[in-house]
Amino acid sequence: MQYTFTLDTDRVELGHFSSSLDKWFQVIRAVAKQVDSKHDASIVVESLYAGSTNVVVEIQPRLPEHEPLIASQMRSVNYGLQSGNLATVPSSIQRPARELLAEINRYPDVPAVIASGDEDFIIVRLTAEQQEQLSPQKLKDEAVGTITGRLQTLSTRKSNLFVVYDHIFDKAVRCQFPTEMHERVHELFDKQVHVHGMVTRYRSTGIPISIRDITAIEFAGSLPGDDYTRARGVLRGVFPSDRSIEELVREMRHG
Amino acid sequence: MADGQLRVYLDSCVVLRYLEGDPDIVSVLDPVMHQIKQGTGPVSLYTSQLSVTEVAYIVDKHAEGIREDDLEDIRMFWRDAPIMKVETTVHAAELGRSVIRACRHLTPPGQDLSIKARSVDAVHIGTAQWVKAQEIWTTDGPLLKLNSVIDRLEIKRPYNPKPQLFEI
Repeated sequence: MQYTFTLDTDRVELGHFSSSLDKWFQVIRAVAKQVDSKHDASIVVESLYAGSTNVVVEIQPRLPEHEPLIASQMRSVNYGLQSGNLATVPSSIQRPARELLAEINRYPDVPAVIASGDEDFIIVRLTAEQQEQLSPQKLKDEAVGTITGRLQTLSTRKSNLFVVYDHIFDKAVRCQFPTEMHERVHELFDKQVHVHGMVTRYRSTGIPISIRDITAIEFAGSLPGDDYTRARGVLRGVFPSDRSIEELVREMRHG
Repeated sequence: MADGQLRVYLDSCVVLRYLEGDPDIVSVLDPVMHQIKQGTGPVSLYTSQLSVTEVAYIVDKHAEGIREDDLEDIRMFWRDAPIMKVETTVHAAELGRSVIRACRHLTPPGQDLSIKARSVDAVHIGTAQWVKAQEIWTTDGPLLKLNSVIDRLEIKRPYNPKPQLFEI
């Protein structure tokens, strides 16, 4: 079967064409390897159209029976590239597919179309957050901070990890904890906690990803019998009568 | 956090007025917080960790003769009231910077300075935006003037969005 890659615009930079073509080639090679891990399939240029950035190739596997398997796998990858969801793509293909997605998304004004046989797939334009996930090394912020949420999914298999579902965004945050906190983590399992440490967040959204170098884990839920309404009115009559609370706050904030 | 809830960011002024026992504020916050505790409320409440410090500063500087027991009650309030304390992140600070710039465009040099977000206002507003609050509740006049300045964020006096028929 023939496979086509096109950058569908009038003006394409050679570097972008070259780089995206190379990444598409890596995707095809990974697909062929997925089907036949011991041999490289031949990937042959069928046609290059003059004045366009359109390349047609043919994958020539070692055994003819591999061809439908490659076609099926390519279709699955193309769906992933079209939707931006590569979760169903085999892990060995995910990395080159992510790199192709990232390269195509470097040029938002240049649509990229890939085709398997007669079926066209337009490579998705990703949101800022999705793009960060493709290149996580570059677009994260780290700062000492706190994550509050429910402590769940404890694992000590390879390293000491638990997950906290952050109370603001309801996202799972990976927490790497030291062995000496093991007992404390067990005590607080399935409870609301504050986890203090070095928090990594996506730069564009501030959504937390993980926390390491944990310094403390505290219970964050209400204790039975405690009553926050006891504080209602405790400041009655204690402020200067000639100034409002708003004036005091404004003076504190702005001098 | 359940979807579809109204996310409200509380300014320190509102918390201080609640602690002062202002009936207008107590009559709003008590039912709202009660409903949150019951898991039935249409509102979720947020504030910055900065608010905890601001309240402590105001109490320490201006509240004369306050008793240790009352200070302990304030501490328990911050621990147990169903108000989510949010830290100031880089992202919230950057959102705050956008607020300052938006306000600068509204106030030409030498003209009306009443619409102006200073750094601490910007931290509060940026934090509210970061947690996707739809409303900031405040009793502070200058902050209320910023109501129409910020996209998708109303700044208003506290009100009860789901009035109760019976007193709790």
